[in-house]
Amino acid sequence: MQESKTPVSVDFEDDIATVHIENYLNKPAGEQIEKVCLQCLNDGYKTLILDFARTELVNSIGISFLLGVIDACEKKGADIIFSHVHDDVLSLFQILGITRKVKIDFASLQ
Amino acid sequence: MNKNPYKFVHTFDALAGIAEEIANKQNFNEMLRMSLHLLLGSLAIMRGGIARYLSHERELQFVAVRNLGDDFPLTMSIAPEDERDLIDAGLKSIEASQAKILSFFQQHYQILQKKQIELLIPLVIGGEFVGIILLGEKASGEPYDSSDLTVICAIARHIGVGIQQRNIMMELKRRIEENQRLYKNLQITYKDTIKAFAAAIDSKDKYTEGHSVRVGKYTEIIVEELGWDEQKREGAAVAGYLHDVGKLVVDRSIINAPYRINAKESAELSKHPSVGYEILLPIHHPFVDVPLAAKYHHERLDGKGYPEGLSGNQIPYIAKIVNLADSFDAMTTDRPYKKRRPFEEVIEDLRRNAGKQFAPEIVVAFSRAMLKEFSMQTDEKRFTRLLGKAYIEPSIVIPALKSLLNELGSHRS
Repeated sequence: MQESKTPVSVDFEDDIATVHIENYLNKPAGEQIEKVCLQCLNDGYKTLILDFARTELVNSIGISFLLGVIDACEKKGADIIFSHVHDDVLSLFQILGITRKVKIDFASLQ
Repeated sequence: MNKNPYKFVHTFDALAGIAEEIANKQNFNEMLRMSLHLLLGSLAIMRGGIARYLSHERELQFVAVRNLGDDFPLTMSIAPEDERDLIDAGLKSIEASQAKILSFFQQHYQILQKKQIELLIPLVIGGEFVGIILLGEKASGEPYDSSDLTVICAIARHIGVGIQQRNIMMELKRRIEENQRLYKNLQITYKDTIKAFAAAIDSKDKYTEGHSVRVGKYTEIIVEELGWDEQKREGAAVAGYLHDVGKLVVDRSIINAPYRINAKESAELSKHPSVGYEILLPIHHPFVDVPLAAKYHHERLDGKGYPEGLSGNQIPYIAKIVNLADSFDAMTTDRPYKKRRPFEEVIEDLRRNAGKQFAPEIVVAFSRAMLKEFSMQTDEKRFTRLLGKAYIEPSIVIPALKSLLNELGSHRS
């Protein structure tokens, strides 16, 4: 089942919610991602997959919203996985240390 | 070293973003909210808050918080000694372990420790304490290094300037509102003083009590019909209220004479316009022509008036208006030596003297205002209240006014 909310769309399967993120993770996208992810956690989903397949750029505000999602997952005891992360974006996540807080689906890397 | 360019670009982007937020954002709270996002995101800091300092309350008020939970206190009191210590420290990062000497930090130590607050940055701009930033742990789990602290303080400085700018704007707004309030009070005092003056003038003239007030009101009606703005209308009304102030120095026996006065008494009475002018001239009236209305309200368009025999455009416009209002009131009130004239005769007098004593366009404006009221085109009852309902017979007066307007109607303001 797919719900489409530009710039974010969500797929659900069992207790896994996959959030597809659009091209530029900035303030509008970040707000939407946080809102959707918090809703998924409140609805009882135990695993959040953030799909970065279409994301080429993440700015500081986007990072901050991602940290909000990570913090919420920690509090709820939920797993959070980043998938299909572009090399440059992954480098940024690694430099900032975010990769220590999340699981990276290396099999899906681009 | 390969990683450094990415980090450099990323933090530089955050700095640029902060500068844009401070410069462009209209909404203060939103500006701080986005600034906090930029700060946390620049170094992947898990949680934090920005507070502004309310100096009168001696209180920190958190305007933006991220991931601090619902139990985080949004206000914290600051002791005077804390404020002094923070100002002395200047804008630099303070580790939580060192911040313990501050009493507000001690007071909230448990919650700050629970929230893993690691850094405190007092926002000191130009020697003024304007707020504080609290920062939690980095996502990497690593301690803050010197380059991190440099970036944090650079961003914090921008945020501090943004808060200080807002404080200045709010103080400016407060002072403007205070000045507006004081000005309004001054206006009220001025108006009350004018009315008291008018009452004093009229109290000397037993038979025409209320004359100055009525002339003020007729004057206001005329200038409203002429389309004057509110401020000028108020000024014109004052000119009407005070037009006879010079009578204060005229002997009461002359003013209240129950007969037509002689030449000598008339000469005495004729001084009142010039005397009124001298009385009113030193006062700083908002409407500067008030003294002129007093001096020239007995001049006539045809030059047969007094005190100077001015004619036409030599006569100040406000004086022409007050002249009409004054004459109209004289004709429509009882005098010591004669009763007031029937209203339709008064209208005829206005028509006959338009262009001789009165400016035609002013007669037109006044007549138009009367017609609007008597034919119930407006809910106003100003003439009815001033003249008395019994005095006005609409079936006679309305046709007379229409006839006057038809004849003089080409004279528009």
